[in-house]
Amino acid sequence: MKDIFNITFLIALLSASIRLSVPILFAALGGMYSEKSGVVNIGLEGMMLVGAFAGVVGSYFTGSYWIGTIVAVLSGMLIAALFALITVKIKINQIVSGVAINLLAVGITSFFYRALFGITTVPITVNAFSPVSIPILSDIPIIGEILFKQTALVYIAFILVPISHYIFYKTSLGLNIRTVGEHPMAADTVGIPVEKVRTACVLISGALAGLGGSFLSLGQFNMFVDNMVSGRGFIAVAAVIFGKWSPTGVLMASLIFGVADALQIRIQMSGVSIPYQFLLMFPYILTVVAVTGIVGRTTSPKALGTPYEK
Amino acid sequence: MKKFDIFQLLKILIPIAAVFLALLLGSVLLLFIDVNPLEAYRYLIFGNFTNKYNTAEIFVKSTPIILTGLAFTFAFRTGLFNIGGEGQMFAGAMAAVFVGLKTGHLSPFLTISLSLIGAIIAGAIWGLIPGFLKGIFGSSEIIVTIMFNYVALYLISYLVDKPLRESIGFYPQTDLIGKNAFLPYVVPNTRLHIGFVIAVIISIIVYIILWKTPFGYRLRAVGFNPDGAEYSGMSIKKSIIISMAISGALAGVAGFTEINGIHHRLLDNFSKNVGFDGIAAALLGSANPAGVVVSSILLGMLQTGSNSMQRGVGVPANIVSIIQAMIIILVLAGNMLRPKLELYMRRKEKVIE
Amino acid sequence: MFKKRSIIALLIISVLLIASLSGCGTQPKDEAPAAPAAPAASDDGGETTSTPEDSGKDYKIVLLLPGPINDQGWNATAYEGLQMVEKDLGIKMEYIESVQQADFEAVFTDYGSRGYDLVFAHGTQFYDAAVNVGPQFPDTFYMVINSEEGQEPNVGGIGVREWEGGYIAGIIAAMNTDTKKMGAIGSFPFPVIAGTLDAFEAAAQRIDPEIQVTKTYVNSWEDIQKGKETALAMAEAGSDVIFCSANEVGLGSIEASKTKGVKAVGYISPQNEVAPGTVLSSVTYNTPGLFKGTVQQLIDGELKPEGVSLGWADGVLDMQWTDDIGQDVKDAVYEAIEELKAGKIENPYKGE
Repeated sequence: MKDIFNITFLIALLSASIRLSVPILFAALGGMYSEKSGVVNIGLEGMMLVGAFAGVVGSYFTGSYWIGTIVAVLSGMLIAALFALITVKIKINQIVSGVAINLLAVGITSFFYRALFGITTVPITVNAFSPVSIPILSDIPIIGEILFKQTALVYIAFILVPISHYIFYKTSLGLNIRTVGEHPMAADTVGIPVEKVRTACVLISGALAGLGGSFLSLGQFNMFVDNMVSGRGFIAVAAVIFGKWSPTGVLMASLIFGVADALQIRIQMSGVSIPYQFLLMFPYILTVVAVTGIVGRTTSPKALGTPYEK
Repeated sequence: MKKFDIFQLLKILIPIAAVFLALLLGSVLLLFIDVNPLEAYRYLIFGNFTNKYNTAEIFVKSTPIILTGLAFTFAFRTGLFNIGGEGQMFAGAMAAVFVGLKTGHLSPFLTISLSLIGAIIAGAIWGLIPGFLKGIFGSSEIIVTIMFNYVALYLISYLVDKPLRESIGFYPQTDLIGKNAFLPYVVPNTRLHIGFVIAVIISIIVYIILWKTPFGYRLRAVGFNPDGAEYSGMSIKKSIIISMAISGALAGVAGFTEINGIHHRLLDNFSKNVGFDGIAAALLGSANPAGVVVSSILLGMLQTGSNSMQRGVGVPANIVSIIQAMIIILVLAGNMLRPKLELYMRRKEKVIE
Repeated sequence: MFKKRSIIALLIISVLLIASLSGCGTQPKDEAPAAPAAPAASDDGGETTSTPEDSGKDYKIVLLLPGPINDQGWNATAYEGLQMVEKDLGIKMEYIESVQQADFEAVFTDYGSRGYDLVFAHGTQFYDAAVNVGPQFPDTFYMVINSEEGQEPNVGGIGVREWEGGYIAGIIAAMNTDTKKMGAIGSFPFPVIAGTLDAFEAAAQRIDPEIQVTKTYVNSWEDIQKGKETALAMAEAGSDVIFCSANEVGLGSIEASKTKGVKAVGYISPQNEVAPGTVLSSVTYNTPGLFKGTVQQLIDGELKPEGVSLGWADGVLDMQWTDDIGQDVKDAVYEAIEELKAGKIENPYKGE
């Protein structure tokens, strides 16, 4: 543990944290759109999985990882459309719908993987992203090393934060979304189409979760394996709340989860005698601490989780 | 009278039609992998009834689902979303194993009762904490309970890895609990244990508490209209904490039935997804105890039937999960759409008359 | 109104239809499993000459897997075994995947009551259930892979001494490290996994006592990103050879090794092609042969209700070499394999 404050260690830790937080950030930003409009989206996990799979399929058949990414976004939206249909239109309980979507996603991705590639002992590999150093910026000491030598999707994830902030707080669209999430009845009276706004937000969440999935399969790897998202979608749900439903908050929350995970790996390696299960528990306890108001009282959108009946 | 009958019939017909539709969609996938859908569905629907053992498995499967379903129902009726049934079940299981290991030498009645009490207390604590945080800090119980599921999962992982690892120190699981702590079987040569009976009795108790006592009425009033209830002098905070504790206790009992009835020891990741199945059962059963029991049995049938379909015609697990997800989605969708359909039919009828 | 009623009628009809169709299917077909295949065989006997008169040839064998078959590791190698049995012995085995622990007994009972000849269960976690169910179905043989115990009259175990694989991986790794630091990743601290990692370390330190091995667990078989990040962290801390025993997670560690320009040792599946130039060589499981051998024993009536423990001496482990490996490494490996075969090396894992 003595080299913990060594600068190379710190750089390595932080760039690992960035890599670990990006899939969560994508999905959590998506989840935020959905929740801001009043729809709890537990299905992020499944939407990410679909994105991860579709990205690989797209890249496999076209040879282009960019097209793969687009396919991932569209597929994420497709399964999100189903989620929107059943939660916004038909108004089934959002939590159960989310769980069902996750179950569906596990089945669909595994089914189509085998239908396309068969059962393999070595996975199919495709063209994937490689890190891009941004000129000038990447030469900045320390920060350049951590932030500006990542894959393109990492930059996209971070750019989405100010864009989302702008949309939510500076445009009428953002105001409409927030109104729908807080007072759907009021929104309806002033002529905001509640169901349309919610559907759009769920679609956006699917698109972003799909991107998050493709970051795993194409940004970190060049392959898809069964259930490769491994619970990151659920962490994203936590990050939305931890981040108090604001883009910057979600960014901070995702980074904290990323740091916690990267640190957890290194603490275990250093041979400290804390049982590793407690280290794995850490992000979840952190979230509980966060929502108990130690980081300030959290207030959810008032209509969160409740379908709107005219 | 005649009209009324049609609407009653709809309550049964719509779910059946929904299942039918889900199976129809699933059959496309089955045809794709060269499995005859009719053959597969014969196993799904009738595969359980070929012998006593498999039929009993339906009730074995449904036992913990009833209990976690009741847990969700109790919280739901008092205006709370308890997504932590899984974690509370794990908490109950930890306590049940601990008691079973320590008191397994006592008489069956004593050790089983102690295990049950232990599970109830542990589940209640695991529910009480999110309730407390909700009551005092206003923290979303949805999130805290989800997080507590993970904490419980890793806690079990730690317990079976280190302090409670079996005495020969090999596998990450505890020793078997004392033989006296095993739940007795109800039907010989099957795994159907008395836990199912306990679950049904508890569902009756839950019904009585919620609908037949002033205490239950108060809790429901808070859920139904918090502002009004507060105005009439009820403490919302207290109500939230009590509801969550009771809800957690119910799920804790599921841990007891799974440990003392099925596994007889604690192991990593046992009885996966029972918590979420409980939520589905509660919603399918319109959040009332009788409905929960019925829909849990149906879910039990669906799961054992799926297993039987997998064994009978080699349907891969991925298609099984797709079909299960479709059935849940479509049945719930049917339930939601029924009032609209009824309304539409009534209107039409009026026009004709 | 009329329309609505007709829709309902349609629904009723369709429900009845599926019920009756599946019901009809029940009668003729349900008898078939009850009286296994004998009448069916005699019916078709005239036309299909490929069905020989030899009644002993119609075996019913199933493979139960604890996880998805496509896990790029443990379960996937079992699937290869299933294909080998079909190809070499002409026996079509069934398989079911992702069997939940709560269902083990029910699944064993079901296959027992349906008169299966041989039930493979691919993991020690199945052993307790096999022992409980076995006595009720004396005509079915339950073979638990990775169990080193068996029970009269019909439960057998085939233990794979995975640690012997870890030992060889340790030798290959130790002869390719410059930094004298190496990383070993496991899924869960199960005895087989912990033993494999311990053997890896013991072998490495036999080559050079100064070598340090960092061991960590990721608590997953499939979290490939965590596998990658763990291996990256190991490489950043100076490890220059990484070894991983955790199915899909291993792919993550190989990817990390490639990124960092360090080496990896492939494990379970032949993984040399996953990252040529990064994977030094792979220690592979010859699981297919193990399945074929057991089925052959069934045919010869030689299945014994006892546990065996297999390793290099029994051909259960194998090497997939790459061209990058020098003769000195191969010599050292073959020497160690001989010692393992002769039982001169002990499993370093002694339990918790």
